[in-house]
This record gives sequence, structure tokens and C-alpha cells, in this order.
Amino acid sequence: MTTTKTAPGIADTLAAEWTKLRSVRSTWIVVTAAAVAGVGFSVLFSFLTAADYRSLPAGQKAGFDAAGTSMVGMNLGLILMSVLGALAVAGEYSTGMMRLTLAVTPHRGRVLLAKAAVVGVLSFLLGTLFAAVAFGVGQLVLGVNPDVPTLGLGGPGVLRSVLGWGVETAAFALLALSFGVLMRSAAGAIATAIGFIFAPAILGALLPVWVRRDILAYFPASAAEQLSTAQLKTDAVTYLGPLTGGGVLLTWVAVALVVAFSLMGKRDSG
Amino acid sequence: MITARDLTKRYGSTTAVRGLSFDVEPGVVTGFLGPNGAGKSTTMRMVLGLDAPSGGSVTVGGQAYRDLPAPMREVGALLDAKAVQGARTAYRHLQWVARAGGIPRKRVDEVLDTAGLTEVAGKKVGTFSLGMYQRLGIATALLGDPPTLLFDEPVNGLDPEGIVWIRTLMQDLAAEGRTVFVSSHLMNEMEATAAHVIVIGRGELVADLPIAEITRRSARSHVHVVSPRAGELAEALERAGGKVTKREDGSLAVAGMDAPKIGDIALARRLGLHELTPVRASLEAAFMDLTKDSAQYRSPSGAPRALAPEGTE
Repeated sequence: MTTTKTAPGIADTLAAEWTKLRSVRSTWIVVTAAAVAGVGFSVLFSFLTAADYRSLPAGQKAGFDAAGTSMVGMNLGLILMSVLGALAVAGEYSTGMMRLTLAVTPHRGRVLLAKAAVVGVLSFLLGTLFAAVAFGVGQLVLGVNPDVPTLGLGGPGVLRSVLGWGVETAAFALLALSFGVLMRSAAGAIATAIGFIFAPAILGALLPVWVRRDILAYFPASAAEQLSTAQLKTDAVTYLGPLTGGGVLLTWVAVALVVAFSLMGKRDSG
Repeated sequence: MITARDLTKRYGSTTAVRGLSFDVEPGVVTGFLGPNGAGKSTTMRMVLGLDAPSGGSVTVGGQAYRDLPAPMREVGALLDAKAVQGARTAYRHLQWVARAGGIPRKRVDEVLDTAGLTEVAGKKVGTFSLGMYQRLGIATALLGDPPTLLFDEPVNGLDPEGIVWIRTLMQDLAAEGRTVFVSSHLMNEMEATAAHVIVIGRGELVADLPIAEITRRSARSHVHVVSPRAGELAEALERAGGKVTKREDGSLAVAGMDAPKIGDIALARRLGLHELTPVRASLEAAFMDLTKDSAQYRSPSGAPRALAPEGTE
């Protein structure tokens, strides 16, 4: 029964969500796994490419994508970071702790916003960091073979690609977080996020060109590719360009978060 | 002060809480009784703004919970002690709650001490026993030092020492002038803790009375009478309006009449009395009566029910 009653604000909710995220070991296990997969697999792929460069087909050598080769593992890192997004909310639903969260902060929009901000910023920073490390180490490894053309950070599209991986990682973590709110289950949210990541690549080969051009190109994974690929394939049917691709990706994230917000606001016990 | 007015909650075609109106006053422990499934937890979730009422309203200190600017400083609640992520240490758990509620960090150490968890503060919650979960839940509820406290089944899983601890704690909190609202299906526990009880059955209000009143009104409260001339006394008492049951050992169980009146009648008839003992029904028994036949207390003029032969509490 204290006399000073200061109302907690968004800064307090952000601090609480950050405390939650960093105080469970699973967060750091997932981050470590994402680093190992994102950087480690990229470096391994760079090493194999450098060792086997001579036997690559002439066409591939001519348009050799040094940046893409050195960051190829980021596709795996991305999946692991989206697991983090799903866990950040689904873990609270499965244990029932969401009720405590919402009793402490009845402003549900603020809770969702704080969770999204914490997960989004962390996954953007880590995604960018992992991509930068993968690129740096990958170029060194590729450079061991003097025949392989390597790039610096100033190379064409490289900086956009590194930052693009950060954006793509954050976007998928936030999509998984939204799915976590929608389904209140970590497994369901992770499965759906992975489905969204791989759907264009898997379905693309089977579907007619117009479906790929008019529908699949606007799926989050193909839109994100426009940001994270240094060497853009302007002749590909799914080509949108970095700006359009980035806009499409952000629209997906915004729509998913708005749906999550409206559901969370309406549901009993969040 | 918690105020419910015509509070109703429907889930599809089933009604969990129906037209519930009550006030929970500060300064005493108020028990919230009802069999499992009566709607106690649903009501508590509505008090906390977690579930939206289908009709009616409930306020804390005159405001709807969701409108409270600093809810943790107004209301502390323990709903389900096990609804906590086990991967965090007790300290980190309390720390995030304190941060979210705008509570200074030093309160974390204070409530850990109050709940007797200081030694295990660095342990993962997942390793806790049910009793320790309950203590952590109570520590969480106390973080904001709130004038209103809600506890849903707080003694579940506590050892006898823990039960005494929480009973004393709740009474101390009420003595400090706080509103303390405690649900339970364990009637005897409430008897030792609460001064007032709100009883619900099938989502409806059954009774809202001081605890003494409930047991006094119970049909199972009676006077145990032993007389060498029991037959004559029974006749006289029945003529005077008492409800007399003869026991196998020759004693009488008299309902509907208090001990002084029985003594006066015996004296007037010059009938000796060897024992004259008022037997108050336990809250447990009174509660069974209430929830079995909730209509009885809404029409107190109704005839008292027959005394069960084995009904000696």
C-alpha cells in the first residue's frame, strides 16, 4: 500500500520482455545453433566451393556469386531464429504464464508490441551479425583459391545483402511470433513458419509460370530474397526488385502482427 | 473492495457464472466457496480483466481492472501457481514481473524473504515442489504491495506448516486493512481463515454471510441433550416447537431451539439435565447443505431439514 503510484509504461514492458527472453537458456541455445548453422554451414560451403572451383560449369564460373556462396547457410540460421520468435510467445501460452503477463500488463497491444520489438531487434541484429561474419570468413576461405573472384563489403549489392539477411531474419522471427499468438502452440507456429520459408522453393518447380510470377513471387520467402541476394536475378520470373520485395515482406509482417493483435485483444486470457 | 454486479459469463451454450452480485470488503478475509466447477476461477479471471464478462460488471476499488493505470499496485493475484515457465530462476521470474509492473527491484528481495524463498531464489522454478510454486505465486502477488489480494486455492499442495503460514499471512494482510479474497473448496480451511464467505454453486450466488451465520443457520447445528427422563423431555421440547431426534445411546439431538430455551423448559417441567451442549455444524457440513439445496437459504422461513442420525460434528 505504497503512496507513490507511478503507472508503468511501454519502457517497463520492453524491459520485462527482454528480461524474460534473456533469462531462459533455450534462447541462447537457439541463438548458438543459429550462429553455428548460419556461419558454420556458409563457411563449409565456401570451403567446398573453393576446393572444387575448377570443376564448376563454365556458366557458373562466369557469373560466380561470391557473396551468395559465402552466406548460403543463413537460410538455416533464419529457420532457427524464427523458432526463437515462436518460443517467445508460445511458451507462455503452453504454461499459462500469459495470464500473469496480461494481469500485470492488461494493455494487450503493449504486450504484443514489446514482445515483437524485443524479438525483432534481437533477430535483426543477430541476423546481420551472422551474415556479416559468414561473408567475411567466407570471402577469406574462397580467396585461398586464387582462381575464385572474391568481394569486399563494398562489392555490388553486398551491404544490402548483409543488412537484407538481418531484415529477413527479423521478418521470419516476427511471422513465427504472430503464428505463435494465432495458434498458441510452438510446434504449430514453427511448422507454419518453415512452410512459409520453403513453400516457394518447393512448389515453384511444380507450378506454371504465371502462378510463380503472380502469386509465389509475393510469398514472404521470395520477397525476402530480393533483399538478401547480392547478385539479383533480374530475369527470374519471381523477380520483384529489392524495394518492392522489401515492401511486400514488411506488409506480410504487418498483416500477421495486426491479426495477432486483434485475436489477442478479443480472446479470453489472451 | 471488489464489487460484482450481475456478473455473467457464458461459453457458448453453457453459463459458467450467472448474475453474480457481491461486495468483498476490506479488513477481513473473505472466502469464496463452491464445489469444483462452480465458477470460482472464472469469476476471479473476470476480476483480473483476463476474461471479458458476457454481462454485468466487476470493479476493483471502483474501477474496471483493465482501466487501472498501475494494476500491480492495486491488485495482487495468485491464480494458478504452476502457470509459470520453469526454465527461469525464481529471482528472474520475480524480476520480470517487477519490471513489467513498474515495481522497484528491492521489492523482489523483500517478497522472496516474506515467502521464505530467499535460499532458493537462484534455483530454476521447474525444480520446485508444489508448495514452493505456491510460495512463489504469493510472492508475485505481494510484489506491488497492493490493497487488494486474490488467491485461487492457495493452500493446494502446501504442507501443514505452509498452511499455517498462509493462513497467518492472509489474516495479517486483512488486519492491515487490505481486501483479501480467497477461493477454496476446502471448507474447513476457510473456517479457520475467513471471517466472511461468499458461496456459489453452478455459477449462482448461494450465500453471502459471515461465517458464524452460515454454521448457525445450518440444519446440522443442534443441541446435544442428556436427561434421565429423556422421553418426557423430548415430548415437551417437541410441543414447544423443537425438532428432536433420539439417539441410540439415549441422548437427544435438538434442532430449531437454542440451549437456554431447552434449559428453561426442562426447569419448568422439573426434568433433570445431565448434559446440555450446543453443537455447531462445521462449515464443511453447512456447505454441503448449502450446495445440495441452495434454495434453503434464499427462503430462510422454510422448514429446517431433518437431522441425520449420524450428524454429530
